[in-house]
Amino acid sequence: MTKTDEKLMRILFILNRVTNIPVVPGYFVLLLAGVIILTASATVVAIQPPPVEEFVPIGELPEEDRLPAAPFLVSAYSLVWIFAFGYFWMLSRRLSVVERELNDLAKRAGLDSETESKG
Amino acid sequence: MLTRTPVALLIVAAAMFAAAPIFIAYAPNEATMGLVYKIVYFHVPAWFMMFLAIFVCGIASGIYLFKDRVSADRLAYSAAEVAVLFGAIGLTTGPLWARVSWGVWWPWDVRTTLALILEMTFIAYLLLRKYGGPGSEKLSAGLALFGMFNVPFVYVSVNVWRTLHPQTTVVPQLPPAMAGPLWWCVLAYLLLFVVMISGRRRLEEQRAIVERLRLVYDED
Repeated sequence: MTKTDEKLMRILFILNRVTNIPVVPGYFVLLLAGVIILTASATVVAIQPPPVEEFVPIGELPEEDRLPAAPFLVSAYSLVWIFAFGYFWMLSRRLSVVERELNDLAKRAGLDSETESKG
Repeated sequence: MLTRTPVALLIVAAAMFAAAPIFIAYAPNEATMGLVYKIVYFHVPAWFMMFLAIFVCGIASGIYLFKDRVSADRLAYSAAEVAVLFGAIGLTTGPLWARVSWGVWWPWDVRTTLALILEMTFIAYLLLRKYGGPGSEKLSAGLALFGMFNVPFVYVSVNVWRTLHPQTTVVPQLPPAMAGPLWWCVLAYLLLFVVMISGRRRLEEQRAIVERLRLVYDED
């Protein structure tokens, strides 16, 4: 038996010992799961950033940190118009489609009554 | 097409919206937020109308569920669509305000998250109505009731949980120079709301007539 074979044999022996661990009881698994969950929760709580106690008013911010407010205000106003017009345009299109269908059905009814009266 | 009264209301609402920037320009700036606070005039009324539309939808859904009135179901469907529209206005104007005053588009705090969930609830309602097939009316009515009961939580969330969002006490305590333009905009939104609901309801009624006529023809 060479030295390499001896090493391999030793590794196999250790692996065999490791894999032959007796079955872990259920309560131990539960306990382990509890410890893991508690540890994870504690870690999550610990790494939370501190709560914001106050904010800096825009007027006190340095000039480079300030955003121009007017474009945002105009955008908000424009958005209301876009949404409202968009909705009314969509609504009038849907109403036109339904009214066209109604007219078609009315025409069909007219044709049917004509053919019935001729028949 | 829309009938005369809603068209007249629509013209008045459009005129009020066109005049709104004049009143808003004369309103004073808020001390900490400056000019950007004026988004309040488009943002807050949108949420008022969304809540109103949700209450209309929820109550009408309750009537449909317990009294089986089809007209109430049509009203609920119309109100749900309008609620989603005003919610979309609120959810898009809010981030514009937040970006300037808080430095972020969306803070994921309790108020914004609950508001987003409320919007998604009514989008779910509309999807259920469109693709749910037969029986989806009752299911969506239940969903509308659930959505309606969420509104108080969304409203008081800013008072209960820690958030950067202004509290509900802000609007009642506004000085007259700021409150005047706000209530002007609320009135304009309310007119829009009435026109939208009546137009949408008319669409549902027309659809119901078409369906009934089709059934008559199919039976023949």
